[in-house]
Amino acid sequence: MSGEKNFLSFALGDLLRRPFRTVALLFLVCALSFGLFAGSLISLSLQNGTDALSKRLGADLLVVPRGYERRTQGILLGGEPSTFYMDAAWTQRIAGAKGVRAASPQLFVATLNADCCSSPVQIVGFDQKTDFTVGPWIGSARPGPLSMDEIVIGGAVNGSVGGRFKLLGRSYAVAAKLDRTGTGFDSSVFMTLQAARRAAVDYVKKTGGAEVPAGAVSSVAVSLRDGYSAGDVEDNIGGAADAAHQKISVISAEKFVGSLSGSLRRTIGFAAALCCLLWVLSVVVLAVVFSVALNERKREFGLLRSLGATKGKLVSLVLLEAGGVSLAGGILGVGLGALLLLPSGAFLQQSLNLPYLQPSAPQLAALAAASLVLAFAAGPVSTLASVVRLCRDDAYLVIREGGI
Amino acid sequence: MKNRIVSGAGAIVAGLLISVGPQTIFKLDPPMEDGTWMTCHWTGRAELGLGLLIAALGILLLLFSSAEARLGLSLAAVLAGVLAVLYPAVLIGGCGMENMRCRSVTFPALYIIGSLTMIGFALNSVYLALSVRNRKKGHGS
Amino acid sequence: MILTARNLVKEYARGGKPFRAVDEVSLGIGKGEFVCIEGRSGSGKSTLLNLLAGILTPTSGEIRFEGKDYGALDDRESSLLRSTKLGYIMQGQSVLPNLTVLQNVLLPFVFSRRSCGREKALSLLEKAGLLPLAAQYPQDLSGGEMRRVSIVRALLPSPELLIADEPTGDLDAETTEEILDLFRAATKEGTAVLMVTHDRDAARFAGRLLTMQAGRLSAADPL
Repeated sequence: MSGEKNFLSFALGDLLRRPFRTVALLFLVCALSFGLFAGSLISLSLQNGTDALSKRLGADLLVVPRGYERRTQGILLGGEPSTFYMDAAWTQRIAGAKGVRAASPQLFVATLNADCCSSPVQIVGFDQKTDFTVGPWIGSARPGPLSMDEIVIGGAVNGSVGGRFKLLGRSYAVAAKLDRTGTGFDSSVFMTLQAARRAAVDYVKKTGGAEVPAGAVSSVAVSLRDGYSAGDVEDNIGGAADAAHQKISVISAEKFVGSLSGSLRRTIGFAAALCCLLWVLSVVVLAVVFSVALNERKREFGLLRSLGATKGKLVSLVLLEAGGVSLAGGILGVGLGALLLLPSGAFLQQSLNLPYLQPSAPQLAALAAASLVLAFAAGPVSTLASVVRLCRDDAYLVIREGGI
Repeated sequence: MKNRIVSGAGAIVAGLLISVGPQTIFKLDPPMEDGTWMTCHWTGRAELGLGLLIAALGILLLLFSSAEARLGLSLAAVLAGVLAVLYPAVLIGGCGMENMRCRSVTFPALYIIGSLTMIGFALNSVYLALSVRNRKKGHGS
Repeated sequence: MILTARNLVKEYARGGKPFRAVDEVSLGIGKGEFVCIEGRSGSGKSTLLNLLAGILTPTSGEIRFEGKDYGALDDRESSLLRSTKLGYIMQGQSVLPNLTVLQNVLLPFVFSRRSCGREKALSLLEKAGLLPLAAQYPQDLSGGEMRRVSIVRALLPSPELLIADEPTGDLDAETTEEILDLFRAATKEGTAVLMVTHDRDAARFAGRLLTMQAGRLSAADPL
């Protein structure tokens, strides 16, 4: 014979006895916690990526050939690798412009084949003498100048320090590997300017394209003197370009990151508002369902009262059931969110074409805990009205004549 | 009856997604220029076989009415789900670069479907084990 | 007297006007007494029972159980009273469909900290002829069997007073007889019984018969 039930199993048993209602409530809370967790995870990852991009850029301005602004942004955000050139003399002209503190050339070369796979990487050649953007990051991973045969690889490139890496048919030693940033830097390979020019020649040999101009560069990174605005220096550089009848474009790092941050802030704000709305809606729906359910159980509660259950016990019963459903639903939602989103970071970065850097493990745990707590709270909060009625109303619980 | 249909259909769907998905919806990377297949191609081949096995387990789940038999099949599906995750993650692997299609699309899809298969059939196994135990208790008392 | 009620009034608002479901009722029940209240539907019988069981608060008047004033008890104390000294059998079916017969009988122990009376429950079920059904669910029981389960549940804590609202309603004569036998056996063991019915045949079993009409209680016409 089956034994007597204790209070906890009586409360949770009621959930099992009404499977359709329980599953529907579970699904609702699961959707709520999934939405909260997924929304906050994506928002935080985008925020992390944008912060990393802004730190990594280093330069205040980037001067590139006119018409190649999009491809430059693509390199920064992690899109298609590119190869393009402009006249090397620009480095001097820009360095001499009013308001410029430092100017350093960079050369971008796309590879065709990184020897393991058919996904090209972006080669970024930098001038070790004048560089102030790439060096500080490389410096922390590998102090000292790089030789012609040494490279530093980005966080998502498949290689390890001390190993070798083949690019355009030539083997290089991996001197260091950078941390992830969630940006295009992760799939880039950094080498000296001379090594990059040699790689560009290798590229031309393989693709049969136009010859590499002597001393070619792809862009010039500019650092501003104190007291000069980006706009002023842009004009100064632009003036020099017009005088030389050359077509160049000046990208303001602040505007670039700023526009990303701006639209990101709006997106995050919108997502946060949606999450709040979702929470409120869930509480309302749960409240309606629990209210109807408790109304149906008036007779049962009247019986339990007549058998000696205090009002407090009935309240505990209601809260346990609501808490049980919302805890289970919350865990399910957060689990599902983690399962779907954590392996999909690279996919999301490519699809959104935005810097995307997943949070660290402690941040993830905090997000999961917060989502779970909010989802869990929805259950008991939604029963508040019913609980108040239970506590207040004698007549509510009493069985009237006629049985109902 | 409900359990047979749900677990059987679930395994068939999961199996088809695991076997055919890497060839179609979440395609793997194409071969290199010289025609050589990359590592991820072999993962795809392994998942093709494994997925068909899971689908076959689904058909058997539909056919068998005995709870004990379906418990055994469910446990087999759990282990198959583990393997579906291990092939790309550890046993065979794929391309090195994370922005390659296999790493950014195919493998995450396999991790998700494999994990859902594992979890779903683990829960199904618990449910079937409890049914068998309760039925035995009922007969015994 | 184990239960005394003086000038009980329970007033509701009905259509904006005050309506007295129980109107100045006074009543006393002695140890081991079998009292029956008869009356038509809507006469206030169930309301009176709810008041006497302590699950409804009167508008005015006093109820004392073994000398303790209900009005002076807090919710915890009155609940304890109901689970130990008062047995209440609701009108209609009052077994929970999701619990077995034995689990239904032991329901009062779910809400109290007392050790469960499993042995006593099984013994009472045997006396009521329900022992073979202990592991069954209510859906497998007849109406009469379910009613007997409610009675066993109410008798399990050996209450001083058993309050029963229409315990034989919609049951056949033979089952009615079985149920009234259980009540009589309880009174022999010292439990007082207060039963409400509109079945005159059942009322014959009582030692004292009262009539409820429009909220007022009076001695009934002799049978």
